[in-house]
Amino acid sequence: MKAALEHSKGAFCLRAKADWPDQGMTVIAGPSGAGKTSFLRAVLGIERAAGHIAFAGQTLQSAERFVPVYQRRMAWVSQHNDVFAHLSVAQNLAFAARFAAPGGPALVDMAERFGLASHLAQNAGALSGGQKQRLILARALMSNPRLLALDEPFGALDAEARHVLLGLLHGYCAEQNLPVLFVSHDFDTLTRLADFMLYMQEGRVIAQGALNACLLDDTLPFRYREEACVVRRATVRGYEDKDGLNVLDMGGTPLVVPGAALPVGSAVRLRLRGGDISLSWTRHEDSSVLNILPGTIVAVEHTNGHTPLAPGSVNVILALSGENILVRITEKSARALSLAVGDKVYAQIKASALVSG
Amino acid sequence: MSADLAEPIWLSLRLAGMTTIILLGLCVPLGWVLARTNRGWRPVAEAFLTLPLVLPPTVLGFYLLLALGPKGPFAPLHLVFSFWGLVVGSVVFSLPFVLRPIQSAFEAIPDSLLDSAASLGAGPWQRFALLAVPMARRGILSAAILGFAHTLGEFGVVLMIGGNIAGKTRVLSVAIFDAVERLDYTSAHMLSFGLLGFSFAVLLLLSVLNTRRAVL
Repeated sequence: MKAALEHSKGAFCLRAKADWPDQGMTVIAGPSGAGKTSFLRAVLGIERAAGHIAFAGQTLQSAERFVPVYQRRMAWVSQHNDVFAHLSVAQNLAFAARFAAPGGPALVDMAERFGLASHLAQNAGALSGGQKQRLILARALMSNPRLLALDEPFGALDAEARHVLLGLLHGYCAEQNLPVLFVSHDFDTLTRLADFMLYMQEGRVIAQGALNACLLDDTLPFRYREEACVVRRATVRGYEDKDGLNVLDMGGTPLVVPGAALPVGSAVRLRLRGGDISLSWTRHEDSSVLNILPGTIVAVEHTNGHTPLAPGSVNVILALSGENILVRITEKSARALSLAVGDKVYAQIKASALVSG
Repeated sequence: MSADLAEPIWLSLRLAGMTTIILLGLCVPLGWVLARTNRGWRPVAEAFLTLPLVLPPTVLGFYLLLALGPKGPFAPLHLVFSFWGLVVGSVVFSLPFVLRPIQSAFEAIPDSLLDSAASLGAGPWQRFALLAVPMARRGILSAAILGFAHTLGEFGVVLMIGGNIAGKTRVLSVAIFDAVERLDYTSAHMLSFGLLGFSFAVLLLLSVLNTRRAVL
């Protein structure tokens, strides 16, 4: 999808240009006031910006043409709990189905999936906050959209409820191959969902790329965060009953993750947090850490006046089974190990640090 | 009650009913347009449409009389001193009372809700008919009640363009005025007290509607 948009509203000026995949999950990230929501609304046609938008080979907006919101088939889930309070839960879903292109999901299935089946006859205005969020997400999907657009999805929910809903969302969109464009400044949400990132600042898209490239980009704030991480994909190969460990394959490298058995053959996301990985010159067989993987140092970044890295910390970028990961160690350890670019070291990844989501 | 008294009451009710129906047809779309636009003409339109609220009814009646009269642009319609002339006058006179609550009710619907509906595929007309009108139903009902009651009580406009023709333009308020002039205080009392009671009942109903939101 391509967009080049200009729009000014009061003192704020949007001048954003971006090009991102027509599939998977794309996050619009950036500080508050960067214009993330304005950009999303302009892409959907809710806000009428000047410029050009093309999606799936079709021009949605150009100098001569403006496809209105209701013909773009891009379902919007706003930050507000916009249920149609004068209608029942079933009627809310039916409202979206009424305008859906043929081949949309069945109402009952959707209600079942989002835990609304027992509330169908209930008035939508009487639902709890969490139920309303499930309803507006289910309603958006009932419209059988070509793109799902979410603005700060489920920000009002507690972490537990949000994770459940993000899981449901991720599952549905992966299954239906539905592209998602979402605004988030919540690091947890974006690392859980995103495949691609557009990073905005002061109305412009200043960086865009695959999630890991952005998480490791030294011009963006992510790699300097305390919880800096990368996200890797892996396939479930098996389960060790005795120890309660899932055996995964991450780009040819075996890994184990504790927890309930995941279906063999399924794809999982692993969030590898820099602070949960340690480095050593040799393979420590006597360690409590289960995953010890060989890697090559690509970069060592020390604290200095130019980086926003916390004092005493060092970022080590390590090539590990074909992709870079970030390791956060202390200045003292880096000195003791005297790490340098090109060194072959072992990364010890705490099994519990692997999060699938 | 004598036929003399029943006739103006019936006429007033017919006038108020007809006026309310016309005003609803007018103000629901108008209120929607005003609530949803931020164009420069909006304040001008709002000020113009609120004029009947502040002008003396005689001023309105005077201009309406000129417009509808034999030398006015609407002369061929023969509206002066007729029931339909009264309807035209009442529509103008009661317009702000019906428009305001309807517009407020539409303004209370969040933009994001309507934008969400649009993103689901609902066009402008469908958003209006399927969401806005049902969501504003309480405001529309209040507006109808207020418009009806206000039309019942009007006097100046009616007298100016309707005169005092029994069975045709002699409505309740004119009949009261008439009775007082004739020193027929008994009839004046009956009609006045009836109107007083009715008006109070209507305002009470409105108040109940506005507090017990769950009713509708």
